[in-house]
Amino acid sequence: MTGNRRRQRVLVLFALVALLVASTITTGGRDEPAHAAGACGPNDAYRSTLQLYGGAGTLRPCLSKVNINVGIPQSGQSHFFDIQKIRIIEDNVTLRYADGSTESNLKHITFESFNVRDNMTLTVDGPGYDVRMAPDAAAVIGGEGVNTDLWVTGDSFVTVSSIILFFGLCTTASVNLFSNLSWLLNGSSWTGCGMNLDVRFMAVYRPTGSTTGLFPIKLPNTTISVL
Amino acid sequence: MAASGVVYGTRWGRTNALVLIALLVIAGIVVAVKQQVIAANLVFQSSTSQLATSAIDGSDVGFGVVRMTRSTGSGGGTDVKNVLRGGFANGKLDGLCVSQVQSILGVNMTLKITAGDGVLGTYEIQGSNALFDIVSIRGTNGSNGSGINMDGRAQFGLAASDVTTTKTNGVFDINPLEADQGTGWFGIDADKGNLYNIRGTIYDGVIGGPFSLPNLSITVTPGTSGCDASPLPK
Amino acid sequence: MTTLPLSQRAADVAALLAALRWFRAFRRTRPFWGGLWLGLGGIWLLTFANMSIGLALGGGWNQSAAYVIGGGMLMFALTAWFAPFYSALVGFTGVLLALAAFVSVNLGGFLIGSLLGIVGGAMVWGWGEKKPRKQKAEAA
Repeated sequence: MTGNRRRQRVLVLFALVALLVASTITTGGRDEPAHAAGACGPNDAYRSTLQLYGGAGTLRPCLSKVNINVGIPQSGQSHFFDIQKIRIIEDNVTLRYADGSTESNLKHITFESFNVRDNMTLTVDGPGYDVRMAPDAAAVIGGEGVNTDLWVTGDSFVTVSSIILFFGLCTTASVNLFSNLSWLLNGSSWTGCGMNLDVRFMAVYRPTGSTTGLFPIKLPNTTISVL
Repeated sequence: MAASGVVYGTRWGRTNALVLIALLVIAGIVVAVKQQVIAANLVFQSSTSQLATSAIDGSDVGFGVVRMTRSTGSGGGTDVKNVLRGGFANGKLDGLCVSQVQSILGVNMTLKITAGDGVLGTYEIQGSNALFDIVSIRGTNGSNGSGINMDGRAQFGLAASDVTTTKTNGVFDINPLEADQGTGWFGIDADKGNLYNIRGTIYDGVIGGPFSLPNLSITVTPGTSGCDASPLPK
Repeated sequence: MTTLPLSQRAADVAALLAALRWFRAFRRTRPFWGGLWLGLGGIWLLTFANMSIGLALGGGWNQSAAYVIGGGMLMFALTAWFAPFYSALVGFTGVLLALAAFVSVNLGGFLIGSLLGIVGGAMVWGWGEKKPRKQKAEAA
């Protein structure tokens, strides 16, 4: 028999203690959520306060400062999307981001009943990664009876056509010009030829009635990938 | 102690009794899981798995880009990947199949976990607090529904740490996706998510909380054939 | 192969026999086989700690569970060998660890690690002084 009884006792005690210590150290460590005091800066001070169009509510998001490109490349006079109304809500918005930094001269625009027929790719351009949402064809980022509020850069643009205006030809308008064109943009249904929006934040919501039930985001036959 | 004449050895009576008890405990656990008494956590990690389900119906849904530390095989090495972490506070799945090709002793083997009642539209798998670390995911049109859908007020561009899913005592938990704080981490928040005919490549998936897995089966088969393409993947 | 001088061969054989005798004594004075199975169960769990599909029941999953439980089983296997006096306690702990492995580590390394641990741990637990048959009635 190896060793005397006392040595064996020490060995067994050591083993039990080691097991106890190891299990104590390793349990509960992994899934500890970051309960930082204020998820968005001290006392959540870095949240933005954003009014949705038409008094539909106030959002207080903590913003990621990541560009979301909504791209629909133009292809001749092909029509790729439909929007009931295009509105400019605020011409000069300053957003505050999660790290406390701010960005000015952004535009708050709203699309009413935005439907995509084809050709749209939504690309999130993060530091060191991209997220691509690529519907094969049709997609809804809003849809009937839903508003799509977008906080975008001024050099974003939409290329639209209307049967009654511009002889139905695709015409590009940058968001910077929206306030001058608001009389026009508000008043008509638009068929879109293309768009290139650099979006900082987007909220899709139903302006009246129950907030749920319409499924404002519909991505049939869509691949979402992290690159 | 080792006095001559005294023989030491395994006393099989006692041994068998303990083995029997332990096996009964295991059998009890298996029965409890099959009868959905015990919660189960399903975890896939280290390298990508293929996820397939005919539908996910989730409430309080969020997606956010997070840095995931993953182990890189033996030796405790790790590296960091950006993934799109999808979180569902509560969810039902209509059939589930997760498969992964593993090289075991140089031979390709496919590990496959399947669950479900084999009936389309019954959403028999239920769980809460599900997280999937997505590399890519594709939802398609089918007889049961179409692609990836979100309901309620959907917000794009939130910080991933601001995405909310689970609640404790009616209050949203802070940072349920366990995302990094600060800027640079994109997030989407929605009230509800209905995903149909999903095929995806994921690292790491956890379904915590109460979780029922009817007809759970785990198979290891030679070769590389994963979940099939049928509406209810097997 | 060269033929060794007879004397050297005899010495080799003697050394081998001595080793075998030592091994037999080693085996007979401790829960050798039980410890071996328990230890193999632990090694199995450690080997497949990085297995990429995991299934954990009950409480949360912890990636280090495989290391703690697998390492614990290996440690208690060695403890069983070198502290045979406490084999009952050590073996029982081993069985508990093997059951814990089933719950939290890939279904106990897809059952194999847990089964090895249960059988090995139970053998360690059941190890002890074998009573001569005639004393059996007395003991009961």
